[in-house]
Amino acid sequence: MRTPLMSRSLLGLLAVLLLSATLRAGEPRAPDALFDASRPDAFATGQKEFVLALEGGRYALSDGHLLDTKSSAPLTNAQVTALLAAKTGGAEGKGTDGSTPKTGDAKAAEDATARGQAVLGKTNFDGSQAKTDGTDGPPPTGTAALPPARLQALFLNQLVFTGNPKEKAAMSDAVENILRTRTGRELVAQYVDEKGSAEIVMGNIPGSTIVIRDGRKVPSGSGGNTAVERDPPLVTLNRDYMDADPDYRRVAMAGTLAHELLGHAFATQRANRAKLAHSVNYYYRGDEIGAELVGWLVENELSGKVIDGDPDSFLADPEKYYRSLWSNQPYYVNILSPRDMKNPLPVLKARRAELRRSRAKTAKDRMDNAAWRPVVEHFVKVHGIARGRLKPAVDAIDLFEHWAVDQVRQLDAISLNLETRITAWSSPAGQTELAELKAGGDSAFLKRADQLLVDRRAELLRQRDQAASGNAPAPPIPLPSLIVKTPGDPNSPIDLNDLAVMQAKDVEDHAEDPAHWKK
Amino acid sequence: MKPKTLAALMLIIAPLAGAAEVTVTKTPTAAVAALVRFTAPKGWTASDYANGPDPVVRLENLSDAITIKAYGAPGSAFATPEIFLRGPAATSQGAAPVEDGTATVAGRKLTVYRRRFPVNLPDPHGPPAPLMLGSEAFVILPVAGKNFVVISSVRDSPSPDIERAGQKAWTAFLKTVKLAGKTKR
Repeated sequence: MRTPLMSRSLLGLLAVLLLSATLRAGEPRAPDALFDASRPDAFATGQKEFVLALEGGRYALSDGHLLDTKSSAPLTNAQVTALLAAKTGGAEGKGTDGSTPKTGDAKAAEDATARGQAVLGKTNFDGSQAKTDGTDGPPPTGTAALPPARLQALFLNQLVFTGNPKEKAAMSDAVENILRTRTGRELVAQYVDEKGSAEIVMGNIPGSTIVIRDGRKVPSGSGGNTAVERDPPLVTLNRDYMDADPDYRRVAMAGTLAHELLGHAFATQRANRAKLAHSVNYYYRGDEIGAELVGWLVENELSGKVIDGDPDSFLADPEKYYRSLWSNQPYYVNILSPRDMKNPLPVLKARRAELRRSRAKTAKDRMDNAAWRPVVEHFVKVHGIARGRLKPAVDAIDLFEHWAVDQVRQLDAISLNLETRITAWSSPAGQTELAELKAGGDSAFLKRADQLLVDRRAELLRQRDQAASGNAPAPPIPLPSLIVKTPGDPNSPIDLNDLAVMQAKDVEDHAEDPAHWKK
Repeated sequence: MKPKTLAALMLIIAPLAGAAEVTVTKTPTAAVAALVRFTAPKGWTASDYANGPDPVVRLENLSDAITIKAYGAPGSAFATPEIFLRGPAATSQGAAPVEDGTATVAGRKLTVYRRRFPVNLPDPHGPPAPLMLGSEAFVILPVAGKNFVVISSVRDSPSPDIERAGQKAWTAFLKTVKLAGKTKR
């Protein structure tokens, strides 16, 4: 059940009132587009003077745009929104919770602006974010209860964005959207309180390009990564986001930034502060899924759905999920629970049997898979079904065969990595790391991290159940499904599952005619 | 994950009558055994694990598995059968499971549900992988107190077994399931 909060509601109302004066009805302005200062309705009364007086005249009108004279870059709509949102707080003389703004907060906002970062309010120029804020549950407390613009300013003060104006605007948009979620706001508040820091850039992800998936333009590659060994950590977001569909980008970039920054980077900074050895977080099995849960929660609270990754496998059965990872990539065969860390060698040695099983399973699955090719031919030749209808089934058979061939090679690499680790930890040189892991397994850091996994899984399950039972709050950025399947079409494509049903029925129908399946 | 031999498993699965609520204080196998008794298919490997208060016994033969999962204990991920049926362990990528007839288990006529689920996890920090779906058939058996047990036939492969060996083993397995304590009526 959603709990409205007075302070957030008031801020939203103020922002809407202020900005509505600058907007022409029915003409949304894209946040990423350059602000058009030549429009007669570009500024409401007093706004132009306010902006031009900021920071001793840092902003100037030039060629119909508002220019940041420090960076020589024209401002986007989102950046101007940010400046005007800062005016909202100052013009009222009070924060939206009725308090007088603190000098430190105001300075943080100025500092953030001075570094080219947008300090955004709740409403974009396109007006699409004004109605809901993606939150339910108990009201936030402490730093999380600060007015959004102030919390955002404090947060931005701890980040360095590197990129061109459009990229910076997109990154600012992602930050704003993270703050519209309860999970994001709570984590940002902790990040502010614990003085986290990071550099954020948009970069090329090898092999990534823009593809159409479920009717949307999306990046084909990973959303980003974090160089946790850097100080501060360097978060790289996939540059392909800039060419993705805007509605997808707004949700996915927020989710990815939350995953990388509030998941990986923040966890590493906490581990460093706890004087934990690097090896502990590196081998901790919850590091990746912990970041995944942060990103998934932000996406779900923002759009009503998780659009990256596969949350269901972990949510349904976490232990089975971890076990599946062992045969997924070489790195994951060595991941450990806190309990495993106390004595890792027997744990790793036991995984040899799991890899043997995985190898045998893949071999048997390949045989089972190949057995469906004659079934396809049977339905084409004996039952006269058009081969084109069976293409999904054939594609699935081909896909699995390609996957299985690759998986056999992958299992070789995984086994090699496992044996390398067992050898290293069995040697005198490996004893230091084993001692680090043993200490880490008992650490308060991992106890807390494990509890966070439990809590966040429970929270995402709760949110998903709320949605499934029709009781979820309206998300701020709903992402409708674009692909609608029409069942029951007699000429519809036949996938492998359909083929299995057809085959079972055909076998039953011809139980007295064994020759039927020899045709 | 602690693989055990079948013989060891059957020793542990002793009837523990009258259990009101399950908490995993000993082993997941013992916690499940407090609710239901059963006979595993010959030659299948047994293992157990728990997700917090939710114990699981898994019997498997390569890509075919029979799982016995107990829910409903305090702190359970799925407090009731209704919540379970709406959740990720029962749905097919968000779609409700398909009802497919009934099966009699421990004297109760239960609905058989079917669903599909991804079997090839992508690299969690890599690009999306092509979707390949395995299949699962399951029944929900109410047991002691607020607990319920989900008994599944799982096919952890996108390719159905043309001989349906797993499905046949599950059908035979269901006939061996008995309640360890009192049941809800």
